[in-house]
Amino acid sequence: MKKLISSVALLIIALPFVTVQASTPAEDTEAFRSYFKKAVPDVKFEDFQNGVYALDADSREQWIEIEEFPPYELAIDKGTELWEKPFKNGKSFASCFGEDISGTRAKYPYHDEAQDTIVTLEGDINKCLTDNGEKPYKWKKGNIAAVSAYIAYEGRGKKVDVHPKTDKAKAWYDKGKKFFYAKRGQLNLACADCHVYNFNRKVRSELLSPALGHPTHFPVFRTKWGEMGTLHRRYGGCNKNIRAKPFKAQSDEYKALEYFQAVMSNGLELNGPGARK
Amino acid sequence: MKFKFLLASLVLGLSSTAMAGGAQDAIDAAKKAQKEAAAVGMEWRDMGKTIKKAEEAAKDGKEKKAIKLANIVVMQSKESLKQAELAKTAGPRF
Ligand code: HEC
Repeated sequence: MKKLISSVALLIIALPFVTVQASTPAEDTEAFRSYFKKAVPDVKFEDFQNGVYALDADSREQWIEIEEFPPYELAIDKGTELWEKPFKNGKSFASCFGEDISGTRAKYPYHDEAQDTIVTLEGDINKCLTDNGEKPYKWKKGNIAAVSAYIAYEGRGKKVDVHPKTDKAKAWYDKGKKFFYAKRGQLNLACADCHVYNFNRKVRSELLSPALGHPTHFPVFRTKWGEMGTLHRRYGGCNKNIRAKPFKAQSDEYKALEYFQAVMSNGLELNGPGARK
Repeated sequence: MKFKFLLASLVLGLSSTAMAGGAQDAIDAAKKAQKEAAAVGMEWRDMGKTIKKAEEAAKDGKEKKAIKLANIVVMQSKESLKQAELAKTAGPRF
């Protein structure tokens, strides 16, 4: 009898796993990479950190031109200043992140098992402020992008290294994956429609970047914005372009999306802050 | 393009949507439809704007125009609920 019960229990436990699609995040990453490798065999894996500028010589030249006088330098300066300025209670960002922040950028995004949420760098910057009785920054640009740019700059050279391990973490990953591949908005387009299936093609006058490498260089100075912006600001812009109502920066939807995009870009070098047209 | 098709089906759909009941009914239905789309995370960008335009038209006494605009939102919401259904199984095609 006991045996019967336990084998029934086993069946019930096993059942959902049989019906659910079997690919793991690591397998997804592998398939994602091979897709891009096949599509543009001349582009080296490590160059995908440079977005559209990786795709051809013309764009590459534009990039070298931009990097000669990096427009994000002011933001790094501002970020350094904010980093060093003590809070009213005498503490500072270093009290939250530590003095050595060379590994800080690479820690994010990660899944917090106890809170069951995705923790982002921007989320922790504002948490540090509120924990110390300071007012949080606005989410998409300005001071938050400056502090994020400083931390990104100090953390250059480390690699994207995000691995969902627990079931809860995988659920967040799946949420982000669905978001990425789901068509939405009046134009009925998914992120993947532009940044996977049609990357390296032009939409109006803009070359579409590969999704592989998307999160490596944020925050970004975008010429069109004339200022810095976070990854979630960019997500909002892309959602608006397809006439979907954007989600709020740091919403669960965008945090899951960031998490998924990071897993897809595992192994690429973090090279933020970046500059784009 | 798929998008053109979508637009065409929106326009066709309009004529079959209720015209009776007056502008206020149509606007109430549009608001409900917008909420339904938002509840499944699929609201379209201009739903809110279109409802506002419908309300303005109604205020100006342009009942027909108000109903037409409100009905667009109802149709859009139907499309967005379909998107939400498809999103449940969305994944890579490679
Ligand atoms: C209609 C096509 C389209 C869709 C759909 C779209 N984007 Fe974009 N996206 C663009 C264009 C155009 C740009 C600017 C050129 C570029 O870098 O690709 C861009 C830029 C970006 C960038 C910045 C790339 C860089 O190197 O700085 C990210 C990140 C991004 N998109 C993510 C997304 C995500 C995530 C989605 C889904 C929520 C999405 N996009 C949906 C067209 C699209």
